[in-house]
Amino acid sequence: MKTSVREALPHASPIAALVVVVGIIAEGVGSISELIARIVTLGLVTMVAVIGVYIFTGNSGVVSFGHMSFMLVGAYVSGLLTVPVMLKHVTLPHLPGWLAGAQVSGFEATLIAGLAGVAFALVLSPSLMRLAGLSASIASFALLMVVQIVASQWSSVTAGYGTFVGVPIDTTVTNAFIWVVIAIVCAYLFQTSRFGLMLRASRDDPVAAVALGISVVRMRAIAFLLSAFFVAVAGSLYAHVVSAFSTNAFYIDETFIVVAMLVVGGLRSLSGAVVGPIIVTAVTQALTVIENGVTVGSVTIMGPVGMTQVGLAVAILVVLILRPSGVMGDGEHTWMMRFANRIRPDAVPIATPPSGRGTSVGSENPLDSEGAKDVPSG
Amino acid sequence: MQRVVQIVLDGVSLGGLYALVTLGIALVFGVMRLINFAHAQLIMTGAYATVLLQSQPSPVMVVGTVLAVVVLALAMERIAFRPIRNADPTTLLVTSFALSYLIQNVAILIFGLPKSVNILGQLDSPVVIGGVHLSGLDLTVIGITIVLLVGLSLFLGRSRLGIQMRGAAEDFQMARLMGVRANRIIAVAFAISGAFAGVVAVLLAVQVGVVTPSFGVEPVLIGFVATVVGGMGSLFGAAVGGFSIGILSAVLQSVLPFGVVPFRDALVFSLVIVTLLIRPQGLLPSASLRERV
Repeated sequence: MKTSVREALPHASPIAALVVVVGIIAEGVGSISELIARIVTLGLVTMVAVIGVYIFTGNSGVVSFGHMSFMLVGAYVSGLLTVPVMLKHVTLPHLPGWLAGAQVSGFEATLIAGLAGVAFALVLSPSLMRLAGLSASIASFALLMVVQIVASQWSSVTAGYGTFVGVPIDTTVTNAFIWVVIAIVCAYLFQTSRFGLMLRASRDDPVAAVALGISVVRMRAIAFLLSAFFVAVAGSLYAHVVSAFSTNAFYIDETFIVVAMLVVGGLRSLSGAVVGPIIVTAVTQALTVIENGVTVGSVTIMGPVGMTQVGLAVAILVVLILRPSGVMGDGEHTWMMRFANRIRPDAVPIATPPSGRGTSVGSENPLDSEGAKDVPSG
Repeated sequence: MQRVVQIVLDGVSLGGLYALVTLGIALVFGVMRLINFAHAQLIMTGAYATVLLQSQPSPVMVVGTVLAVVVLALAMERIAFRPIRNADPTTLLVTSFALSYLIQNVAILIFGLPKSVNILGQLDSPVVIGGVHLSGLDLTVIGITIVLLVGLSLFLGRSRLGIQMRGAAEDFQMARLMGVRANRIIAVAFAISGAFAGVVAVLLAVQVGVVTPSFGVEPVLIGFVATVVGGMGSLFGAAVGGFSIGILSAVLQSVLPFGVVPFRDALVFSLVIVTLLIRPQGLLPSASLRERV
């Protein structure tokens, strides 16, 4: 049952291709101008959050509306640790002493923020992970409300309804991209690991999984912790892009955007968690450009204010109605997958657990079925 | 004495409002397994209809508002939800989320600034019963809630359509096999849900006095949660869920020490989580939802 890194790697080619594509787009587009670099950075940060949510939701099948809580925790923890001490005395005069004097580098703050997310998830998981289906979604939603209310009332630490200011701006396209890569690799290693496969089994058939002796609650908890880490990291990165933010930056609208990105890409596919944010960000930016006015020849087209949100919602609705399982569908079976199979005829499709070694199960590729003939049957 | 009566009345009035919202959500959930987040925008649309019709006589205003919301609810079902009727609950939920986002932003495009409502002012004057001053609006809300709840239970208990709807909520496939028309029963559920949203819109508009594009989101968040807490698929459970959250909020509002009041909703939602942990299927779940192993 043990899946080593060495076994997982040969199937990782589509994921690697994905990373390369994202990297090229990000670095290329990001170098055009400062403003575009900021947009790309925010897009990459959102992608880290979406991959984080995917690690839990995609593998367990439990849709969480509460993950923005971890982003909030990450952003505030990282902010509190990096705002210059002098400034903190002015903006947050009632901060407890040990926090008021704390000062670490951006990278350290991001790591600590991620761990804070994990700690928070650890407190929640014994109770929340017992729930499944809609009750789990509603409980996570209730969690979002609780965290939002507590954060907006806890003014000595979070500046309450006010804006938390002065976080140094040090998230660049490059370091956001590095975190995207780390998130993709971890998500991939997790979903092909023993734990990931057991969790996916419980997602597809909970009763059978329990009958096989899988502790569904424990598997979910593991995914939850990993997922909380990356969402909190995304929160920290976000804080270091925008510098000033308030608690409602991590509320219902943002929850909607992140879940929509995931669903548009394909709820059960890691490639979907990468492609979804790209599509949604691209659509949003294109609409924003039109909203601000585009000049074609001598004609200036200018959309009405608010068109961006309306257009985005329509686009998401169209995808949902036409392709309810998302652009990428259920697995990693994509053009990239087929492409990778063509290059490596011996590759086993990623969605298949690497159990029966040497047999290619569920392959759609003619090259693969040729390979399968070599395996003695029966 | 006065204080206790006032707390109880506030609780029942708020609970009644929440129960109406929750029932609107639960009716649709029952037949489609869809938690319709866009219910908030039905209420918002109703509130704007109230604003536009506020110069008309009250009956015209109320009927016009309810009709407008029913039409929107039916359109929602036909355009957005019918194509994905068989998708899993998550996709349905996210679709309703997207729909809600869409309608809310269209409202921002059209109306922009908050609109004020000044109608049915006579309801705000206090009523004195046995030396206790009671808000006329609270009494109206309670009265309307009772009428609608009795009406709904008569409809579900006695009429042909109502019985079909209960059957569909218990087991949709089975109901279809018994000759219940899927499209009609779902449309009726949406229409009633819309009518409830219309009534809630008028009551809330009178109560709040200002209509914004985010109008109705707060009670629907409660209704959203109350549907599940009350018991998924059970209309009685939904009403109980809505009522209990309303009463809990009102009681906490007056019992909590001053400094803790801002955390009231945090407490309410924490109790919701605790309730779900103890009873994952809700307080009064419908029998058909229990998983058989």
